[in-house]
Amino acid sequence: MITDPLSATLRIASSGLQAQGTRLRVVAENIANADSTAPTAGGDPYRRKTISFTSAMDRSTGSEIVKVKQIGRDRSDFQLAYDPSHPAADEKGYVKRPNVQPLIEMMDMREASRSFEASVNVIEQTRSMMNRMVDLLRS
Amino acid sequence: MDFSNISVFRLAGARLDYLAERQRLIAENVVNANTPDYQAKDLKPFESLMNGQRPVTPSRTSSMHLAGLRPAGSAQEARRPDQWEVTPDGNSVSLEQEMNKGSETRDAFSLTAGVFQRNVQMLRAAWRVG
Repeated sequence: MITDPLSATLRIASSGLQAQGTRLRVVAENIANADSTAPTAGGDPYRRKTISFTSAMDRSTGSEIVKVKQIGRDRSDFQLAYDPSHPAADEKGYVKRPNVQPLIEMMDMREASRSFEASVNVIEQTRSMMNRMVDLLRS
Repeated sequence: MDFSNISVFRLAGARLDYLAERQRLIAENVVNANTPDYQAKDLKPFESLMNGQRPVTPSRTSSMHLAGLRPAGSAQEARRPDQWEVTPDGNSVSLEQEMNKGSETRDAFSLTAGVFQRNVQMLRAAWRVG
């Protein structure tokens, strides 16, 4: 049980780091699989992963932290590309491409790293406040 | 000797508590900056808390009652804090605003700790003379 607000702040901010870190991992998986087609002819390729957050009550501090609600799949349609020589092509010669849009992934990555930096910033501010308190003992 | 009876110490202590609590709420806002439908939180201004309005707290009349998480008489949250923007997913946290509030809080904390420290030095000077 942490009742000191400054210690609770550090705990909250680290939950933010964790959540944004998971989000970056999902983005990396999507970008890495942007060209992963189906292993069998005519099958479905890699489906883009999505992540959503929710706020949750942390019992040890009595504060609202952030948690990953779920890692889901993007249900949007696949793009078809005509490439009869491709091993994943169907009988008409079309290949289903993953529904990963590099531009969207980049935006997501920028937002995640911006939020990550904001949490780091809060930790730094809180640490300087704690150090200021410790300095009181020194004088 | 109880230092909390000296009004400067009491005021500075209350201010430090308030700022630490505010920093906690800022952290909650920042980590939930990407949570859909999250409403940003903030405390009421310190002046309004000092102007005699004591928050109403339930009293424990039986040992079976659960004690609240917050210490009695802690700072109250404002119903509807001023927010700079609300995104289409219903989130009202602006990271720029939270960073601004965070540095304000840190500076005020440092200032208040300075007041506390000066007061201790004054007491010490008095003891040395006496």
